[in-house]
Amino acid sequence: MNRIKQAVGDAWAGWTGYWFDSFSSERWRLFRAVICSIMFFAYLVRHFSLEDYYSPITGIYIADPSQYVSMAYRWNLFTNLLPSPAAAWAIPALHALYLVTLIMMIIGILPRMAAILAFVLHVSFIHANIGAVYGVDLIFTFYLFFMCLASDRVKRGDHGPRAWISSMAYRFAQIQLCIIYAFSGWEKLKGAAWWNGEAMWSVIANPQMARFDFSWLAHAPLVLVLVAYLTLIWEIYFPVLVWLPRWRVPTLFIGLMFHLSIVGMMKLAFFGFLMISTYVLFLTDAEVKAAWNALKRIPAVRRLVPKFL
Amino acid sequence: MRTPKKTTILIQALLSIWAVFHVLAVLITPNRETYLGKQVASVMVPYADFLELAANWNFFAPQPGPPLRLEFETVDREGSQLLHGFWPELDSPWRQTTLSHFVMKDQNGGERLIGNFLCARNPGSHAVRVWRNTYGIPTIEEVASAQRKIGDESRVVRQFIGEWTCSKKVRPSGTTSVSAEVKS
Repeated sequence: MNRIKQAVGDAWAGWTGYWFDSFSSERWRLFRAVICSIMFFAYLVRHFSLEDYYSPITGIYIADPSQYVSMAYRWNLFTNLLPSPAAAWAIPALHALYLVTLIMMIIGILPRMAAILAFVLHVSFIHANIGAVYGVDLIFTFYLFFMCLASDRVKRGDHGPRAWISSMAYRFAQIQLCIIYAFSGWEKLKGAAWWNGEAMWSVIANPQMARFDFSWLAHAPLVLVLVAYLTLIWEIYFPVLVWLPRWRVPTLFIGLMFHLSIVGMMKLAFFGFLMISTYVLFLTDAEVKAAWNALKRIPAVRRLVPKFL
Repeated sequence: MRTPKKTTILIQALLSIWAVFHVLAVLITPNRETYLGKQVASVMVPYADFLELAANWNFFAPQPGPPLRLEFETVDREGSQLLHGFWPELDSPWRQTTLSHFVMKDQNGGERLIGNFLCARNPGSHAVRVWRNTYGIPTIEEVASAQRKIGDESRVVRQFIGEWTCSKKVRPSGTTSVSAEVKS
């Protein structure tokens, strides 16, 4: 009986250690600053095409999103605003406010308040035009939600609900990255092009996706097949390997190379940078400190974000 | 080892339930049409949909899709062509490409989504006609042997989506049927 009690106690201690032992807030602040910087530029690009996406008169407007997805529990602050004439100035103003909230999170001004406001605006913009949404928007929704939960005032070793919820948010963020890769890898297993190794060619020979003409790669088909299989193996095993100390650095390094290739070769630069930014979640305290020290050497960063330093 | 207080255990137990619920919700709700998804939908879908956490992660899966482009022409009252083009341009932000794919895949007639947009960008048009073009990618062997080039648009399935009248801002009657033309 005592052994069972001991085993349950050990399991509980392991479980609570995993979910509730607080992290250094430096890591979270670095993650927040990097991911919000990338998304600031992604949404700055959107800011200049707001009329295309959100004008019911001159844009590609989806008046009734419930035709495409269930809206029973989805919400949108702009439902009544969009069809009204006030939308012409209110939508750009709200989008500008959204950009301001991202800047607040980068700098660290009321970051959790800014995250909550950003999350509300972000989800509203998603539902305002569900056709103009792609991977980066959906991934960022998760990380914005986690930023609403996590406090960056928590120090390593802190206890209490605030520290526990912050720690949970950190774990959620790590697990989410694993879910994205695992889901994506397993879905690829359904496709013949990934099994026969031709998937990479389908991507780089698609002028809508490829940044340059990669015709020369047709003379090295084995490279393409190898990269396709490596992608599959790496995505499927990432959720396991990244937790193993010996494999963490190689796994993240392959991911870095993989996403830098996406940035360089495909028209999905924001997606590539967004995924790379999530790797901060798997850095050690020493690596985070080194990253901050490297950032401190950049004069513009030192001037703009004194709160970090 | 220090024994935790009862309140600590209680709060951590409640938070643990939430943690498990959250992870299961983001795993299961994207597949809500499955047996398991249907069993837990009443509990998990409200949470996942309210927070917009029910996303699918099928990047380039099950396999990368073919190039899809939206082709359009604007016409005058007599039906003569004023302008012919594609939307979006090849170097446009990915968000526009995503949106064009959404319009082309719409089962309810994508012209009602994009009609006003194309009319506003082409003043003086009486109506716009839109097509969904699906291009065949040349094979590795074809490119290696210089038979075809990347970006070669000779193999295309051109599917009429519909016609949209600009002045009325409504879809004209009799143009809702979808026909398919195959080039080369």
